[in-house]
Amino acid sequence: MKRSTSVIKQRASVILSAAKDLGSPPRAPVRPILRARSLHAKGMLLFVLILTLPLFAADLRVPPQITAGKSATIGVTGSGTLYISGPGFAAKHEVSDGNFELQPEETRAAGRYLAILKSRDGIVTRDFTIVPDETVKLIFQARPSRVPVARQKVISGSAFVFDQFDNLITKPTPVNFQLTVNGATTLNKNVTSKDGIAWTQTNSSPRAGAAQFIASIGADSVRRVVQQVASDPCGLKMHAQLVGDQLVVETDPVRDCSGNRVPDGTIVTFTAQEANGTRDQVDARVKKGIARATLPSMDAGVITVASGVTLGNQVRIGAAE
Amino acid sequence: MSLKLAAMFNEEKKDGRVRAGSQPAAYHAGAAKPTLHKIIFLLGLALVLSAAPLLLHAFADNSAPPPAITINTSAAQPRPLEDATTQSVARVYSQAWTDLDRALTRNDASALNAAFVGFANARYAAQIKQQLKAGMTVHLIAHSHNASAVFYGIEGASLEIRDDVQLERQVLAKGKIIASETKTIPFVAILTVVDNGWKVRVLEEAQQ
Repeated sequence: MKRSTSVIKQRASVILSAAKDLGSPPRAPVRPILRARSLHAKGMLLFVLILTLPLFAADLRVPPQITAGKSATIGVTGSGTLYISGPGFAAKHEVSDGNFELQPEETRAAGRYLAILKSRDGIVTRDFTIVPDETVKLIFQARPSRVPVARQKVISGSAFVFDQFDNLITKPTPVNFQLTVNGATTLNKNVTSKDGIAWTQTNSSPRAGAAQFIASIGADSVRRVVQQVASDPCGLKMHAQLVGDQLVVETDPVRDCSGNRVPDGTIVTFTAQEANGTRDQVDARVKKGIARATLPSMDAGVITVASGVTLGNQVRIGAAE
Repeated sequence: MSLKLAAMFNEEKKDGRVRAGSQPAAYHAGAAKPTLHKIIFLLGLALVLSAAPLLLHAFADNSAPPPAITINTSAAQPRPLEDATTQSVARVYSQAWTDLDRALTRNDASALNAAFVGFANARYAAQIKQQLKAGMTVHLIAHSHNASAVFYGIEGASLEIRDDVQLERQVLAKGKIIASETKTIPFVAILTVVDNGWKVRVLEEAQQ
């Protein structure tokens, strides 16, 4: 009981002193102010740290676009493993704060790439694109390799536009097509490529010979040879001569309608129709531009000559004249 | 006392006698256990059966041909595509995408040989070689295609397809996915006739 009384007394004195303090002007306590300032400072520091935390977290800075075959720099914040994945390329490197250099041989394949940094902070992914180089490489197809002369739209050419690293250049690019035969230019045309392809179609020239078909972009050109050969025989003419008891028939030089000699080996057919109805037929091949055959002699009849769908002149023999 | 025991049972009492065939409550509590076991067993069986389609899919024969990609041929020039050519090209092009994913996922360059030739084969074979060195693989999932033939050579031996592919690309390191993205990417493919059949010679992203 005595103890409790003393406790009560103590507490009462505290309460009384507090009441006195309330009544009197407040005295700024020194320790609480320092504590408050310290807390304020700590709070500000924490706030600043939170704001700047991303600056210290792992990060990658990649150029949005790189030209194929050129080196490039990837900025790295933090340390970890850098993975690079793209069409035709994959790599893994251990990196730390600083710059990582992509070598020219690592940027040859055009396309979309992912750069991935795996660190203790987690995984950061950035993407970038490699675009084709400016230097052009043409792949040119010309068809067919052999055509008759003076035909409409028989020669076609397709040009595929790549860069030096075999990346297809899909942006529009002007391609020049030229066709010359025996020095005479029969085609000189510019075609803009679409999605990496430019194509053209042209006639064969009237002159037989090896046509030079060239596709070019700037200084880069590709040449193909299209052999233009004589077309069907035209204006077939023959004459007949009695030699002993045989008729020798011979054509004039066999040419097409453009005047080109038909190739040796072209078949020419001679037909002898006698007045009594007997019929003889001989196939002869053109040799050095001329076809020749020997027929049995006849008293009267008609000899005709033909090659393919072309009919030549007639020679009448004997009483039939 | 016996009446109290009887009161514990779930039966009608007549004449203070327990009706034959009735079961004690304690016994009912024990009987609930087998029923519960049966329910759990049936639930488990249902769960296993529901996973059957997934299991079948996992063990399915992957050599079956993939569904063909539809190719719009209305814009093909200078030569229109014949129906038979369209079907053949569509089949080869679809197979090419499947083979490419298989090759990059398994790091197996030989999987490219059926559908790829020339630049495309060399490019992706080089990627596989580098992936092997780096311990990486790539999984390509083409969610959709919007393919059109834009060029068909007059000679009928070369063809170009423009294709907007919604492509999900997963990059894996030591078998774990470290990055994944899904984007619609325009692709250009050039196919040529090789050994009496079509093959993909170029498969690249078009420059935008």
